[in-house]
Amino acid sequence: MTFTKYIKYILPAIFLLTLCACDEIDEQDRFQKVEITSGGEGSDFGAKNVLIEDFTGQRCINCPLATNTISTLQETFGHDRVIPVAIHGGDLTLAAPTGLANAIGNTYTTERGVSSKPKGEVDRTGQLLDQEKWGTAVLERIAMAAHVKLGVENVSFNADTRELSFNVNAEADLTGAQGLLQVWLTESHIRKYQATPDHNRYPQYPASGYDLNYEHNHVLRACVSAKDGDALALVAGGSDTRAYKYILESDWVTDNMSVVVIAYNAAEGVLQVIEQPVQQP
Amino acid sequence: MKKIFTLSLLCLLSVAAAKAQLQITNGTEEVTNGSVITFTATEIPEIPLVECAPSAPKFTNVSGEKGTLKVTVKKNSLFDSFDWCGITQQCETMTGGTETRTAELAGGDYRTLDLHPNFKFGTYVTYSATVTVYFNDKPFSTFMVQYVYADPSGIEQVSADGKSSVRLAGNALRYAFADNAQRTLDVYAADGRLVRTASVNGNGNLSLAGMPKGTYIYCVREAGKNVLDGKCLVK
Repeated sequence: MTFTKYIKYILPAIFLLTLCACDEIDEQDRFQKVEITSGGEGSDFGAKNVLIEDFTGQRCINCPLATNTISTLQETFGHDRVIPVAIHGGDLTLAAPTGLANAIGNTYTTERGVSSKPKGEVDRTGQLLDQEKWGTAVLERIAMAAHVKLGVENVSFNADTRELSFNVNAEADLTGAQGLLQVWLTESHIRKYQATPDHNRYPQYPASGYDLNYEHNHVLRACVSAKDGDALALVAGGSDTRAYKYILESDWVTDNMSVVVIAYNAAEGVLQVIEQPVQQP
Repeated sequence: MKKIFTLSLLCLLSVAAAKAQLQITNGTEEVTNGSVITFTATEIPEIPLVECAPSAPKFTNVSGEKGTLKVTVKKNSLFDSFDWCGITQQCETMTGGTETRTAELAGGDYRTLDLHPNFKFGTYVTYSATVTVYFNDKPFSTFMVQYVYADPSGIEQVSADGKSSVRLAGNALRYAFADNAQRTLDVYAADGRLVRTASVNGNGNLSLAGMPKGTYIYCVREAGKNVLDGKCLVK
């Protein structure tokens, strides 16, 4: 009896539902492609590049997944537009000489308050992010105008003394630039141990749970400038050139090394970042 | 009485319902309440590193609906050191004695515990932790995980009276005696030559540094009697 009492409501509801349906959309039209413009409107220097500081570790099984995210972002936006630096320090790392952790990596990891990994900071905007959020963060910064132009010139390496020397040039547009200029050395194609993710979920990784011959890229090897950078104060249209030198460790391969230059300040984050190979091809 | 019975039945049904929704497995074996799962560490001498990073056990949402998995790990000793990389996709060294992680699981999805001990190369020890699992806010299971890092070149020898034990630790023989009675620890090469001897008591180490690689035999004597002997491999 209860059912017949409500039938007068149920039947019209069912009828209304039959009027609703999903549109059939052709597979090629299901996603709207967003063109990534070059950006940089409002500056003669074009769009700025974006820095990703990847706080990572050789004993962190999830960290290779963050490395994959970096690779995807570089493929999407360009290797010269997204500049990653892998910082090995603190927990879940292996210390030198067998490992990649070093004093400067330990210092940055501690000062930034990194406790879990992988974590990254995009363009020094002040937030440590899980790797799933790096793409969105990069997209927010990649089209911004660059008001500082950076260059690395006169690179010279003495194989006997292992001294690397170079000049860094910074030029400001009509807005000027105030902040810090930080100069790092990184190395890529380093084959060393890395703990790897669950093989059942990610079959491209070894079933053993580790890879003794994993390729580590963009590893922070040294800070050439002051730890947090040297003072940068450029008037509108002004420029500055500084000389830097560093003695490379005997096991660093110069062919795989790069100079990373970061101009930044606390209010705006990274103003510009570039990566320059030590050895030109 | 009728109400108590109904409430009890409802509680049992809800637990049964929760049990039907989550499955905990170690390989092909189901992990049940009170289980002890043991993992064994291996050495990677070229680094050197002690490798013990099992992903198991696995927590699978076998229901057809989304559920909330909550896992609490409690170290059984505050001296045990762990990196926890599971449940969420973040690795972190446990700083406290207890930590809890939560994840939303779609139907059919799974997470792994990925609790990894931080063994120090050459320091042979066992770490363990108690794992408590909740699913959709209902208690599901409690079990123990233990991680064993044993000397790959020999096992600990213990005397019949249990008062003396010797094992190889790195490049030393580590001895532990329950009392301060005077004992002698002798080490013989494979050809029977006495290569090292020391008067020992209490706890301590007899260094094997500088000894050629090979197999040695050690003996502990007390009051002229042999109370314990064993083999060790110097690498």
